[in-house]
Amino acid sequence: MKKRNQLLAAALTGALSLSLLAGCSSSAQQGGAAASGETSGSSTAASAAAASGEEDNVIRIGVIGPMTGGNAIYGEGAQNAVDMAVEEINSSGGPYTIEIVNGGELADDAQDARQAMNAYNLVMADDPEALVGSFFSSVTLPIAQQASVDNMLLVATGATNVDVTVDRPTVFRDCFIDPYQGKMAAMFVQSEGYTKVAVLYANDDDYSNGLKDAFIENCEANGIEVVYEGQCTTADTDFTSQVSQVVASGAEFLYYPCFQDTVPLLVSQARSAGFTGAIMGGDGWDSSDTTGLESQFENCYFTNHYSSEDTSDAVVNFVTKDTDTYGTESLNACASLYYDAIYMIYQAAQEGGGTDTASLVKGMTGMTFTGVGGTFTLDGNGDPEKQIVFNTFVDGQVQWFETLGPDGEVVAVRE
Amino acid sequence: MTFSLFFQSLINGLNLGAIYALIALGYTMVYGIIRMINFAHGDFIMIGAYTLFYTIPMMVSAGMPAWLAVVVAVVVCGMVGILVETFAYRPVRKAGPMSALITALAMSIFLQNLAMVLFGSRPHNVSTIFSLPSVSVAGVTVSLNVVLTIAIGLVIMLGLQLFVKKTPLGKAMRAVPQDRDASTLMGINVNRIITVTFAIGSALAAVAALMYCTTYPRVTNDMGTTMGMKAFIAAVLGGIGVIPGAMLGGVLIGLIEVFVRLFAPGWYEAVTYGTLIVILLVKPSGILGRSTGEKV
Repeated sequence: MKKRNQLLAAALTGALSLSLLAGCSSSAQQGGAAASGETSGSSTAASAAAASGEEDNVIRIGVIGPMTGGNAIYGEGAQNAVDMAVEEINSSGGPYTIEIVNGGELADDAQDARQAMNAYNLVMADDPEALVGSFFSSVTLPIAQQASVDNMLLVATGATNVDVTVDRPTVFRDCFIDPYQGKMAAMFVQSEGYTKVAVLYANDDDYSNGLKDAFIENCEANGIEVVYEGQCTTADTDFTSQVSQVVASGAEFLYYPCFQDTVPLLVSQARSAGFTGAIMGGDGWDSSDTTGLESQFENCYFTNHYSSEDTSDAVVNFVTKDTDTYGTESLNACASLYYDAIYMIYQAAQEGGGTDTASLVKGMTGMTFTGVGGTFTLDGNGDPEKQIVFNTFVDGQVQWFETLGPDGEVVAVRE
Repeated sequence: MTFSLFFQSLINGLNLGAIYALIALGYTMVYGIIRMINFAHGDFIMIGAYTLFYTIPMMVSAGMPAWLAVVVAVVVCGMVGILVETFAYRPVRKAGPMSALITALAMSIFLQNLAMVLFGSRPHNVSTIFSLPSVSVAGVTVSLNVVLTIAIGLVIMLGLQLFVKKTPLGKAMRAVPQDRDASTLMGINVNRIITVTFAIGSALAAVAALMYCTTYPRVTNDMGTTMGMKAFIAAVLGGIGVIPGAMLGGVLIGLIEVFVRLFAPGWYEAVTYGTLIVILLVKPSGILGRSTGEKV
């Protein structure tokens, strides 16, 4: 008996040390980042002096993105798109060239708010003039906070949470914001004639909370009844409890504003629980893996930043080049946002008249830009008013449905 | 709560519980023989799931029935179990339980990172082997896949219990933990018995992977960690080292998770881990655990 208890105690100690080990790995990386910060400390001083002294016509940009973790597919697309944009700009013979710091690589935030600061410190050690990233709201919020303190220009890509740019004059973004995306989803519900909706959101994620709040608020304002509001976390794999409650509530429509790594799980579990209504998500659904779930993904929709089926010149150019070089797998909206962000900074240098951070910020403020994401103007906060794309799934393939403008007007619709 | 929702949740809980129970069996068998918690067991499931992910499309394209992929997964997992036991655990067996435990933790981290290097860090969808329809009974939608999962779990647990109680090999497996030296004197090859135990435990992981992927068709390199932890709690709850205990613990944890999530979705993990603390305080040997007697 006694020996047995000792063994159990040892086992539990082991379990504890496992979690400690997990903690260690991130602090080890932190140590590494700090160390690299120190070693480049002396060179930072030297290059800072050089940067303030002369104009070299090179825009040095640090890029941060999710290169590992469940959503590494976004980082992969972003890296390809950044490489492509830099290559295009540098070979165009324009007045400025672009250099991506950290050896041209995206700094990895691993979709983790703590890792985000390591990634930030990693790129800041190379003394960039502008930053691009990151894709996830929860990761971008701390980065935006620090960039604002450091007076560093930040162009956030997929971070749709409202607070990212508020009261931060050096922080901009090239994507729409959560209230807008939630509002458009509610508008879609109304136009399709659904009257009872259910919401399932990840309570540990800023993005998911933002979309949920906006969706519910707009649904209620439009007289649509929210019959079920359920929670999960971004790490969950089991949604059977929640989806059986959705079915029991009699909802005709389920809003699931979470990320693509759990979307196949949610959709397959909802369908096997007998839910036949529409399931919809936000831009986090982009690149969802539908392999083996083609029939379950029928009657599913998501809002997005752009559609690869769009026929505008910018989109056609981007899609053709990206798929020719890297294939279709990593062609996602995240890639298009990083691509646009690099071009926005390039345009800011031309409009601001220099490659130092102050000129770039001047160029960015109030900019009107045309790119893969359409034509838009940045408002006082640094947020764009953009068109939004509705997609659906046919045989497991994403199919463009319609594009709506900022006020809900139809910009383009599938013929 | 309506009756249909209750019944639906009961089915969901049994499904999740059957998966936990099968994983817990792997923990319990190894613990029963060599008094060691194999923390890499969750990662054996990950290996089984990746094997299914790669072999199911191969089987389908070769014109063979998809369930043959399970046989491949069982063989692969069994081999990995034997390799891990031979090269990692056997050398440190004499060094005491703490060394064995730390080796198991290291093995878990090693396997996860190996999988990340080999298969990438992106999640993949695993094709389903059984695509049985759902049936509606009294307003409740029951997926026949789920029924099959529960049935497979039950059959394997009963089979294992019979194997351990009735066969000579099972008898040897029960003898080794009682007195290793005496077992050797009676002509039992202790090393061979331990290897066989690991092979069976790991093969169970392959079946657990199949059951997991039927309901949650996704494989990632870190999927073993949480599942392994939950199943470990199930094993301790039921009484680690006791086969019926693993089943009971697994089903209880599955039901607790599903029902807690109905009322307080954010609390289910706190309740699961809290259960472990309570059981260790109240009855450290587990619900079905005895302080003396045989254990396998």
